[in-house]
Amino acid sequence: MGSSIAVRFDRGTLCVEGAQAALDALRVHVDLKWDPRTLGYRAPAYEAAAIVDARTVGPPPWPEEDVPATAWRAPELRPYQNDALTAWRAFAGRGVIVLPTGAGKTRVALAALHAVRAPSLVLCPTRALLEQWRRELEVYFSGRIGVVGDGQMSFGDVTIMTYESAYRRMDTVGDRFRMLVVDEVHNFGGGGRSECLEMCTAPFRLGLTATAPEVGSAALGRLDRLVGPVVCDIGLGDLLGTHLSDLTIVRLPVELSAEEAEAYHREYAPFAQLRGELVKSAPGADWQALVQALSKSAAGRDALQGFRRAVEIASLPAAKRARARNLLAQHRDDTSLVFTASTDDAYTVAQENLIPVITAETTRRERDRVLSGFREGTLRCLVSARVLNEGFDVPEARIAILLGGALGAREQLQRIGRVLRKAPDKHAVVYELFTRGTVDDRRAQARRRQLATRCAALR
Amino acid sequence: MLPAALLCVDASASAARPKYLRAMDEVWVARALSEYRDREGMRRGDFDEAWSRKVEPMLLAAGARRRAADGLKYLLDRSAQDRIASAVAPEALRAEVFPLAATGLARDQVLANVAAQFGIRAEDVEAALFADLPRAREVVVPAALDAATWMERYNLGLVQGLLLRSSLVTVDLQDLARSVVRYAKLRGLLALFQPTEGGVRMALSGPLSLFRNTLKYGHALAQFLPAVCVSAGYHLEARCSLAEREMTVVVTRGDPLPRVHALPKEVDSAVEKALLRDLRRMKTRWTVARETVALRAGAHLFFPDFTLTSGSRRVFVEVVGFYTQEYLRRKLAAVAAAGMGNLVLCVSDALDVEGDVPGAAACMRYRRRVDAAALIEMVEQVATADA
Repeated sequence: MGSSIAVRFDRGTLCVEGAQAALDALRVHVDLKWDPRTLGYRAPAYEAAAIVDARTVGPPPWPEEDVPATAWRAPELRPYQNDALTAWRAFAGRGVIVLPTGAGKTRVALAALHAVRAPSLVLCPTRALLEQWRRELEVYFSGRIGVVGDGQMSFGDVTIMTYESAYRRMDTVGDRFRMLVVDEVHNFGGGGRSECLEMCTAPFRLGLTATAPEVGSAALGRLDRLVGPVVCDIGLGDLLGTHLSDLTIVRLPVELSAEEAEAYHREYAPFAQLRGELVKSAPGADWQALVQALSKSAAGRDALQGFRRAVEIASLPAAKRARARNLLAQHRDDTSLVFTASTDDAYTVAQENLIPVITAETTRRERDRVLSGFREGTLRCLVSARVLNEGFDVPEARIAILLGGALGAREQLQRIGRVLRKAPDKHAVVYELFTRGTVDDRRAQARRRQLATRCAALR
Repeated sequence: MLPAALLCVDASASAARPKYLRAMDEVWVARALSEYRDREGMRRGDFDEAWSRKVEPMLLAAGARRRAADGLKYLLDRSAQDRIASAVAPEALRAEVFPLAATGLARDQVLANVAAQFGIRAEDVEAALFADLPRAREVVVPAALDAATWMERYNLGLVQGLLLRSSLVTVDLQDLARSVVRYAKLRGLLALFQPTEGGVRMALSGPLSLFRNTLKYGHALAQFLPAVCVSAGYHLEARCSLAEREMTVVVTRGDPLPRVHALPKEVDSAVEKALLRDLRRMKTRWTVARETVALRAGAHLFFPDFTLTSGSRRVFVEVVGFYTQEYLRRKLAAVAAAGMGNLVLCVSDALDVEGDVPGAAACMRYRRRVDAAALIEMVEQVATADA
């Protein structure tokens, strides 16, 4: 291939110029297209490494300078973390590492950042995780740490950014990093907001997750293209009792009261009837097709609304609330996390038990105060619907009370992982409450079946 | 802008049309506004419950479409500035209540202690604990509650909501093309132009759109709409993704969209802004205009940044600061072929173009700022030569 290719970052893409023969050769393995709007060739920014590998002239579309080695302190790794890092490096610094929650994915990422010593970007899904990443970084990195998101806007040698900020800004800052770390990378498997990764030129990429997409799935293919292949996959069963704490899962069924049962069945019946009719006419129709079909008629829409109200009743009936009160009293001296199916349920539990709640509506100031109180021990319990699902690191938490879930086995696994971080003499306990004979019960059973295929200890 | 779930289009024809609110909807819209006003002061959660149980069925009976009624309420809700109904800031109460409860003190005792601390009753502490949540706030009715205004807002919100879900927009414009183009470019959009009978057709999308349908530029495309509406004649087609269906939505000048928007004033880059200011400060016989017609150069159209006029003499100035050399080369070839002797190009040093630029009558370099005095000197030379 000729060596006369020049590449320049342009609003989340790359303008590529050079001799036609060189460009034609490049098109064989790079998504390079003629852009009639600017009368030039263009490629997505994530192809930068492949283009530069093909011998370009001029500077690459990412910063070449290193972060001073003195700014970094090497994190100490456990043997399996070291294996994960070695695997990632063996794949030329592109790939996804799958480790169970609590197994120290962040530590591996810090070691990778330390190894590359490049201007880097860390993407995380929630505002709550920005601060957590900053705290972790500050332990090992004395250089400038930037934060973009949650009302903050500063860039550093290592910058932490929420997905949402990245979606909005990557077209203007996508060439400022040589390494990209994507926390909870499975979120990009579905293709939503993948512009965050597509519009960045960083050649080194590391994805972190506890729940990788299924082998052979389109989601895994997408991650492979944008981040790299799965280079290391260690399951929960491999670490329970050794590098993660021992775990007991207690399943507690509850019943609807007579009044609740009457309301539940009244709300649920029209949906069940219409669903039955649709299933007869279109066997094998999935949930999405069902919702679309029902949304077409007024009766169908009413049935769907009724179904949602039925789910609400089953998710947090009086018996669950009472059981939760008892469990919180029983574990008053422990640190506990309570997870609910919805944000409304989280506030209900918080109000009844006078425990702090963290949701997407919580301000940064209040969230910081609550988290710091939890770490210092002035608060013993937190309740949340989804914000604490992913990545939230609470070393002291031993008890998880799962009052309901709406997002299936992946969510359940993440929530269980929140209490598995190893500590001396720690034995984690997860209580799973479900409402017998309702949609809540069926969802719990489905989660259990899916989890059992991943880890025998979760049966 | 309306969210995806509330967008409604008539997709029965080959091109979809937004389902606007029109004169026949005015009765139920006025009714909705009146019902909204009557419930001022209710808690938002109670308000919403009452709305779905009582008001919406009433509006549907009066001829409203469900999504239109929901869409109108959505826009009203977004304009409302609901207030927190608590004498003490709920966050301050929570900061005291939760740590106290964590000590193991009984619930009633916790509330009583905090109440005493703030000088309020225990039941007020409990009621105000989460009074800052959106559903707990008191509804404050937005201003301008007349049906005509809200129907226009709804229609604009509907089309902008559709554009938010769009990946490519094509617009035929009869006038104001340059301003609209510049406005679009400042929003990071790329345009492809084509001359038409009496106007120009432009296809707008973003850089990444070349590779796949992306909604990344939807916001820029939606914000761009008011600029189009100012035109005396336009026809807009948007490729939209709605409920997992791809469709082309058509919007035209005859649609009931508000035309009160002025084109935004801030449509210049920093370099152009500075140049315009410098030119206008100078005492010169040349009159500087920002609005120009589109110039045809072969099959291409381009829009010079400034037109300098002195008597019957006219010189066009274009500031070139952000293009690839390939783009510049092809564009200038078209300009050269068209034989435009009255064009001055100001080319950024960052582009690293060597020597004179072919096709232009004159070319001057700039680093950060165009030297206005030198430009006027060059304009004089070009005008003399062109005469």
